Parts: sequence; C-alpha cells; structure tokens
Amino acid sequence: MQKYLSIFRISFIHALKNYKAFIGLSIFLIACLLIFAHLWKIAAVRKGMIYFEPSHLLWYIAFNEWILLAIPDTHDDMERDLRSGTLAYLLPRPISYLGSVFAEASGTLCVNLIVLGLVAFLFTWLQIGSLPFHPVGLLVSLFFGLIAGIVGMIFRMLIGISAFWLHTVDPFFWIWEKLLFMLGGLMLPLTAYPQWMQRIAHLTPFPSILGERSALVIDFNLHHILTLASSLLIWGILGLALLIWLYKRGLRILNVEGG
Amino acid sequence: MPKIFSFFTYLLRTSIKASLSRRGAFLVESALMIANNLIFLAFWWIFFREFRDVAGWNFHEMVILMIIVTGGSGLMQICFGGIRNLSVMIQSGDLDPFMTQPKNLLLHVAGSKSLSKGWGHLMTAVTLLILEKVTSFHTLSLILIGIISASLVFLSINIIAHSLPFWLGSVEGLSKKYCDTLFLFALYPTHIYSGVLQIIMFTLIPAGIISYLPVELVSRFSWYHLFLQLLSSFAFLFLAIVVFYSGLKRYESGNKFGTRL
Repeated sequence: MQKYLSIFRISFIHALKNYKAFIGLSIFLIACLLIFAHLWKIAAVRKGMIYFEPSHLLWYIAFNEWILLAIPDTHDDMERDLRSGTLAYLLPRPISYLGSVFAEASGTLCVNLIVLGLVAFLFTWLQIGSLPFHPVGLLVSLFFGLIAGIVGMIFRMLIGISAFWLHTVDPFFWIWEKLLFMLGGLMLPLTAYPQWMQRIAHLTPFPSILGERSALVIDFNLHHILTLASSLLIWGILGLALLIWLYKRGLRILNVEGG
Repeated sequence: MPKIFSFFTYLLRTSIKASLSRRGAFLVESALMIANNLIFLAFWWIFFREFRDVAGWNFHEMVILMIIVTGGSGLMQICFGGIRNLSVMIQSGDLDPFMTQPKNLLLHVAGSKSLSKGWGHLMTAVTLLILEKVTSFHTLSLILIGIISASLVFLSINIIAHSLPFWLGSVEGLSKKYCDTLFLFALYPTHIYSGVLQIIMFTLIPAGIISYLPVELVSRFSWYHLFLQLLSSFAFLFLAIVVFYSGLKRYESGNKFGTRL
C-alpha cells in the first residue's frame, strides 16, 4: 500500500506544479460553462423541460463540467504504455501495473478536482451571486464528485486497456464521451428525451457520473443520496471487475506475442 | 512548390499504406467512428423532433452540418494525422529526427501519420450525403469546398493547440481536449450564440467557420459568404504556421538518436 501511496503523492505534486496547464484548463472550463449554459437556456428553458430555476442552471452545469474536465486522460497514458511496449518493462516491478496507473491517475484527479472545483465555484458564484445549496449538501456533493471522478477514471482505464486489441483507443473514448454527454444530461436534460431513452440512460453509469450527481447539489434529499451512492458503487465495482478481467486476458496476448 | 507537393504525395501514400496495413484495427476503428457520429446524429434527430427548428435551422441543415464537419475532420485526420502527436514530440524531443531532414518540417510532421478513424469520419459524410440524396452539382461543389475549408481550420487549430507545449510545457492533455472540443462544438448550430460567445465561436473556438459558414453557403449561397469562408480558413492556416515557427525557436532538442525512413 505504501508504494501506491508514494505514487499517488508524486503524481499529486507533479500535477500541482503544472500550473500552466491549470490556467489553460480553467479558461477552457469557463468557456465550456458559458457555452453549455447558453445552449440550455435557449433549447431547454423555452420548452420548460428543466426543473431547475435559471439561477440553479449554471450551478448544475458547473458541477457537470467540474468532473468532466477533472478526470485525467489515463486512457492515453495506458495506450502509450501498451503500444510502445513500455508495459513489458513495467511488469517486472514489484508493483501491479493497474494499481500504479490507478494511484497515479488518482493523484492527478485529486489536484484537478481541487483546482477546477475552486475555479468553477468562484466563477459560478460571481455570475449568480448566491449559493443554491445547504452547506451539508455541498459537502455531500463534493464527496460524490470525488467518487464519480474515480468511477469515471475506472472507465477511462477500461478504454485504455482496449489498446491490447486496438491500435488506438480514441474511437472508444469518443463513443464513451458522446454517451456521457448525451445520457449523462450534459447536452440536454434527460427529461428532454423520450421515455424509452430515459430508461436506457438510467441503466448506464452516465447519469450518476454527471447529471444526477450534479442535481444533488440543488435537490438534496436522502432518497437521492442513496440512489446515487448505490449506482456509483455498483458501477465502480462492475468497472473494476471488468478492468481486472480484461487486463488478465490482455496479459495473455503479451505473454504469447511479446511486448 | 511542386517539390513540396510531390514530397507530400509520397509521404501521404506511405502513411495511408501504413494505416491500412493493420486491417483489423483499421476496420474496427472506422466502424467505431461511424457509430460515434451516428450517436450524435441520433441526438440531433431527437432534438429536432422536440424543437422542430433552432434559429431557422432544421434537421436537414444539421445533416449538412454533420457532412461538412465529419468530412472535414476525416480529411484532416487522413492527410495530416501526425499533427496530433506534435505536442508529445515537442515534450519528448522527438522533433529531432524530422529537423535533420531537408524537408518542410511542419508538413513532414503532419503527414507522417494517417489516422484510420479519419476514414470512419469520411465514410459517415459519404453515407449522409447518399441518405440526404444530394445530387445537384452546385450543392455538391459547395459541400466539397466546405469540407476542404473545414479540414484546413481543423488542421490550423490542431497545429496551434499542439504547439502550446513550446511555451507552456507539459500540456498535451489540454491540447487534445481543446481540439476534441472544437469538433464537438462544430457539431452545434453556432449562430444560436450572441455577443461574446459568438466572438469566441469564430475566433478562440472557430466552430462557426467550420460549420456555420459552409451550411449557410449551401442553404443561401452568396459570394460574400464564400469569400469570407475561404479567407478565414487560410487566415487560420497562416496564423497556425506563424505560431508553430515562433514556437520552434523555443524548442529544446532532446538529443535523441533516431531514424526517420
């Protein structure tokens, strides 16, 4: 465990020192926030499809964007390790490859969550001028933000592991991202979709990573918390199990065909 | 100029052959890219079932937009896929083997790789063209101009974004996010924005130049729009070249030994 904590710490410090990337990411976050807020305003509010007040809308989008941009691009790093053959050199180390990637990504995720969280919070607060939530609700939302970030990260690792079979993992990532945008409630509220699509969306991890989790900060109640917690827990465990299984299968390829 | 063109043709042929050589991966990646685009198309179909039109645009305009954006992005990825590696190359000093060759550096880096997923984008554009039953020569020519112009803007923004490490250091993730977001926002009707957002959509994130201008050109042709579109595409390309070569002055060699065949 100590080894993983050390990797986490190094990654945390490394990410923290890369302040120039944060300046870029923050500008990007604000631009995305404004663009999505505008899109929602004209497309959804006029049809009365969203149940948030206009002042709550920006908070909802800010909480979505916060997680979306904070999840590190672990799939790219894994693809590089697998494609370049670096994995063959990493395997003999007395540490699990998956574990080290997870610890490293968690370090980056935590720094991203802190910095981008502050930027998103301050910008939205300045824009709206009020807080729509109870302090306890905010704390719970922050906690679920971290959990959703970890679940999102696990799925990114799953995309990365597909490099064992594919030359580039980008197409999988794009599909994942598009589904996350659509079914997660980023592009439009889920209520704008037909019933059958809403049902499908709730059978996926997307709403709990984005929309449902962000809605918690505005609509804070015990039933919502329990539903979200169980959904994130189930998807986290499922994703992790699938990741380990695919990794083992991938290693078999590596053993047969070499790194 | 003919020498550069001939060099690029050979380079492109080699890169495309290399991407086609991994047949299984090529097919899977192309198919996944088509699926990815269809997901977005499905989103717009659902959207227009609810809203009918957005600022004068309906589903037909969105399909034309998708043809131009996917076609432009596909063309860029097939012909200039290597540009997506530029930021990593700058960081790891991998530009060295390119710099030792008496060829146009930027063109060499950009053409050094052809991405299979680009074919998926291009196939999406062709499929949508067939489904939309576009047969008029006039419309097809305008769409083709739109696709070429879009690919130039995509290329320019990729050059600019992936040149950022010259100044900012390790920001490969940011560069990639920026380019991916441009593609995403280009799939929106950009004329719904106003004020500062509209300025952003035609400058910082030039989604409007990629998608709005060509679609308007197809729907309501005017020489002014055509001039504006071509001018803005080449202006972005010029800016990108200036940014890259300004950044190159700051490049620190990785002292890497390598060969480039």
